[in-house]
Amino acid sequence: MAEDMDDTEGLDAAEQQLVAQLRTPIAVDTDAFDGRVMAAVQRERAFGRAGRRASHRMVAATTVAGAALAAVIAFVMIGGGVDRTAPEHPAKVVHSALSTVRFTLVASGASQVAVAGSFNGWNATATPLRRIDKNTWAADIPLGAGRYVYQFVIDGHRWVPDPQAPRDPGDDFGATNSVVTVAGSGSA
Amino acid sequence: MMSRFIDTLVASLAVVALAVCIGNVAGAQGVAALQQLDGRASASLKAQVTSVADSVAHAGLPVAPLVDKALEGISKGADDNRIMIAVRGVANDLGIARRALGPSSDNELAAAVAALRAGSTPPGLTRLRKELPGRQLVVPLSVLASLIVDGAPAQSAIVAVVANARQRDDSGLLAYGRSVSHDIAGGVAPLTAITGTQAAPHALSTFKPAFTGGKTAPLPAPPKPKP
Repeated sequence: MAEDMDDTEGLDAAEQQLVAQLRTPIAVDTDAFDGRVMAAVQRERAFGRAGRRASHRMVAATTVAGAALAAVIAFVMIGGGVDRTAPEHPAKVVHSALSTVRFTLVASGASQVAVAGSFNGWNATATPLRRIDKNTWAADIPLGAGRYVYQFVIDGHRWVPDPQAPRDPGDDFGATNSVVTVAGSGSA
Repeated sequence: MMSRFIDTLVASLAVVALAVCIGNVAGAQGVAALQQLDGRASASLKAQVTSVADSVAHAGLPVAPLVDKALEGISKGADDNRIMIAVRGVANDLGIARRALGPSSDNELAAAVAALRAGSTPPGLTRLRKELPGRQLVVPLSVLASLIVDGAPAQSAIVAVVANARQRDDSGLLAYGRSVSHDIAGGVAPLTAITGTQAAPHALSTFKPAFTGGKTAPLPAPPKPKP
C-alpha cells in the first residue's frame, strides 16, 4: 500500500481518486459464480447430448436410405426377377411355346408304365402312360425348349431307358437315362 | 463426425449390397428348386444339398440341376452318400461349363454338363461358343453329347456340329443328330456317320422321330458322291 501511495505521487486529486476506485476490491459472490458456471456446463452438456442424438438419428436415417438405394441398385444389377442371362448373353433369348412330346414304350406284360425325368421332378408316379395297344404305352407331354433326361418306370419299380431315344452320358445311379431335346427357335 | 458418418454409410451399403446379392441369387433361384426336396429328401440330405446349392448360387450358377440330380437319386433309391457324390459332381461340372462357355443360360449350362460328361473338353465347348456366336447352344450341345456317346470322336463331333449348326436351325440340327445315331446303330462307323458320307437317304426316310411337335425339321443334306 505504501508502494501504491508512492505510485500516485505526482497525480492530481482527481486522478488519485480514480486510481483508488479502480483498486477497490470487487465483492465477488463465489456461490453465485459457481452456480452460473455449473448451469452453463449443464446447458452445454444437455445440448451436446441432444446434438449427438440428433446426429446419430441422421446417420441412421441416411444409412437406411442409402442401404435401400444400394439394395435397389444391386437388385437391378443382378437382374432380380428377370432372366439374368438375357442382357449379358449375346444369344437370342428363346421364349418358345410348349411342344407336345410323345413318349412311347413297348412293354409286354406290364400292368402300368410311367415316365419320370427332369421335367417332372423324377416323380415315378406323376406321369403315367396310357396303354394304346396290347403292349404299347404312350403319353403326350408338353415341354418347353430344352434338354431333358428321363426313364420309364414299369410297374412302379423297374427303371428302363427309352430304346428309341439318345442316351445321356451320365449314369450316376447305375442306369442310363434317355434324352429328349426340344428345339426352340434357334437360328440357322 | 463427418468422416465417421461416411464410414458408417459405406460399410452399411457394402453389407446390404452383399446381402441383397446373396439373398436374391440364393433366394429367387434356389429356394423354389430346393423346396422340391421337401417331403422327399431326408433332413440330412436336404441340408447337404442346400450347402452345395448355396455355393453354386453364389458363383452365379443354376441350382436346379443339383436339385434335379438329388431327386433322381432319391427316386432311384440311391443312398444319401451316393446322391451327394453325384450332386457335387454336377456342381463341379457346372463351374467348368461356365468357365468354358462364358455367360450362358441355365439350359445351356445343363446341356454343357452333358457334353462334358460325354467326353467333350472345356476348350471344345469354348470353340463351340466362338464358332456359333449369337446362337443358343442348348441343341448344339445336346447333339454334340449324343454324337460322342454314340462313339464319335469328340473333336470331330464338334466340327460336325458346328458345320451343321451353321446351315440348320435347331430342329434341323436335331434331325441331323438323329440320323447320325440311326446310321451308327445300323453299323456305320461313327466318324463316317458324322461326316455324312454314309448317310443313305433310305435310312433317313425310315427314321422315326422320338417325339412329335415343334417345327418340321428338314432332313440332312444327301451325301455328296465321292470323287
